[in-house]
Amino acid sequence: MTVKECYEKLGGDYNEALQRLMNEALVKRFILKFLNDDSMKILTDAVSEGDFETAFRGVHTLKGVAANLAFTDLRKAASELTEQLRNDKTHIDEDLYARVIENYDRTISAIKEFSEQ
Amino acid sequence: MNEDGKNNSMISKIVEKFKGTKRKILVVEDNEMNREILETILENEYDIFFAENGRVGLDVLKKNYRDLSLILLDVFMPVMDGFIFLEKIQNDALLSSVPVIVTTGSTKTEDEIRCLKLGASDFINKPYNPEVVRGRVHSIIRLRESVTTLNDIERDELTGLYTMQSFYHHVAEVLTSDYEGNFDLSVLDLQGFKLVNSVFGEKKGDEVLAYIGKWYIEHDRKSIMARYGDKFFSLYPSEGRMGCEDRQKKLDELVSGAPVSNLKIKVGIYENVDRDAAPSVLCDRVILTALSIANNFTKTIAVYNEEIKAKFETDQTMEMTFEKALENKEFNVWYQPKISTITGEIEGAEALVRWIRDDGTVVAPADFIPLFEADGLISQIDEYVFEQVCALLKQRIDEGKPVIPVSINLSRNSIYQSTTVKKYSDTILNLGIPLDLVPLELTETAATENKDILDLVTKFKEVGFSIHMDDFGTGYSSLSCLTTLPFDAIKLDKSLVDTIGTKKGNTIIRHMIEIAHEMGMKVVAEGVEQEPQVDFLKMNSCDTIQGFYYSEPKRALFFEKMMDRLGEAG
Repeated sequence: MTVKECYEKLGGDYNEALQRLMNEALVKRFILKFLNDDSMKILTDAVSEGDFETAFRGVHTLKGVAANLAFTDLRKAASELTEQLRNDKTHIDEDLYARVIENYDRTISAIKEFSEQ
Repeated sequence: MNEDGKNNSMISKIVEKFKGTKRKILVVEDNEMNREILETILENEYDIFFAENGRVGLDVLKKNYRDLSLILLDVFMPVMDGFIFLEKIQNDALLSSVPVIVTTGSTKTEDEIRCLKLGASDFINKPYNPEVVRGRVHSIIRLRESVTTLNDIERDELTGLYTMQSFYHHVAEVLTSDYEGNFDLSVLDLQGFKLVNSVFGEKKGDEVLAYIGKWYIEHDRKSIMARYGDKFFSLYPSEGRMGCEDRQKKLDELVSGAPVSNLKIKVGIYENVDRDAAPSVLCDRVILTALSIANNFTKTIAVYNEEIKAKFETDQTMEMTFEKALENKEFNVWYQPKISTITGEIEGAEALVRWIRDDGTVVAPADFIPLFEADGLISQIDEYVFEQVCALLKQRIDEGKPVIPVSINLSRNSIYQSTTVKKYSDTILNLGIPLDLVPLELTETAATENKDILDLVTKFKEVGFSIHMDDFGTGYSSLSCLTTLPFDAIKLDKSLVDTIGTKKGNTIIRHMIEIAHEMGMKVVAEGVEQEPQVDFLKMNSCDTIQGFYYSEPKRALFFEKMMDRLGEAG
């Protein structure tokens, strides 16, 4: 599996990533690093505690990271949830949240598959 | 290790890195990936340092603001977010001298505006475009370096001492440090420095300031020192405190070596300063301490004590209650009659302000007038008195009762305000009161200190006001003032009047009256208390007499009765 194929699998834009991160070695380095990124954990922990203020910060960060790595689908899902939480921090939209989780899982599994080959 | 300990060790590691030759950028960002991506983009050209939240960022900035060229700041972070970070640095001249670019994934314009209002220079949007990041970083750094160097903000150009802004910063740092000893704060105040400038020229004045700055640097190495105008501040550990005699000796040396002779200096010292008070408050206290001996020719050094503290607190209370007092009409206008030497009748009055508190206590004019003159509140009193006088005259005119001119005082502060002429003219013209019924009294100091004064007096004259020169004979340039300013009358100060009976005093006053008359000005003698004074003034054709000999200041009610009697007589 190439880095490009990995991007196709997780719903990202490989060319954009290449442009942002300058070369394929760096793209590879950063997508592997993404496995350890803690913003998703901040989000899920905060949601389970009902702390939507922190959840907002977590998903906002996740959105930024996804954008920097050109993970298009994850970035879109995170972006929608960010806007929902920005406007109303008293509850979380379950559908939007589920979509973030779904895209995150897809991204992680694609990267894992790439890293384990 | 607790969190603070962790922070400290992290900071020391960061500080350790501050040694390279590339320009240095601080990245304040909680997400590791975002930090690394920025590092990847910028590391070839810059040294990058990281802080994982605003608080750590602030600590790094405080220790390294001199070396940092730029801060890249994330907005949403735990512990301390970007907004609070910006708020904390915006009022500190040194910390805010490092430009901040906010890195944001936010599309909210409100957030961007908020950051700009808090002093951010620019934005970079996530996702990062390497070219955009490098370009903005480069241009903000270049812009900042072309406009200013930190030195401008931090150091006074003339003396090399700190500016007041950076003095406050450094004093606050020291006072909030772990150091367990006490600190003293001193101010050296060059009283009458304006005189040096006006007599010897500004260049000489600058030489004097530079000389003192140099002297400070040579003699006071362990201190934090600053210059502000004609004042030099110094904060030092109390341990190193000099005895008063030694200090006096040093000051004598300073004065004798100065580029001008007879330099008049006063030193205020605040020992063991209150470390919880703001640096600006501490400075106010030493300034006041130095001021407490302003007119004492035998003392050069004053130490902040309970008495000065009490006065400081009383002053603060007066300032804080001023607005309310004005609203509650605690300020009363009293009228001191002026008597014609020809008719022996009342021909005018001077309006004077009295402060009577709601509970009946009287605040002596000597206690509040100098204070309000110093802080500028006096101009509101001037205006209030003027309005009261106009109201009184207007009512009497409408009722067909007799009126006489009532002069009011115009303080230096009122004179400096550009709106004064228009404000006063509008008020009196709208009421339709003849302008010669309200002469304006300008004190001699007010009249001589500013070049713009001629403009102001001319404008007032054009409107039709008459102008009296108050306190004539107390300053050093009374006579020269007469040659340049178109006064209608001079008021001989009490200190001159008190010399009546001495040979020299008689001569001076006789000739002053002559000079004034020859120049077409009337003469009013103030503070006249004794019959021989009255006789002398009458004999020498002084026009008008004001003083306790005839009457003390009267409440409006009694003053009105005096005016009513004029009608009966006529």
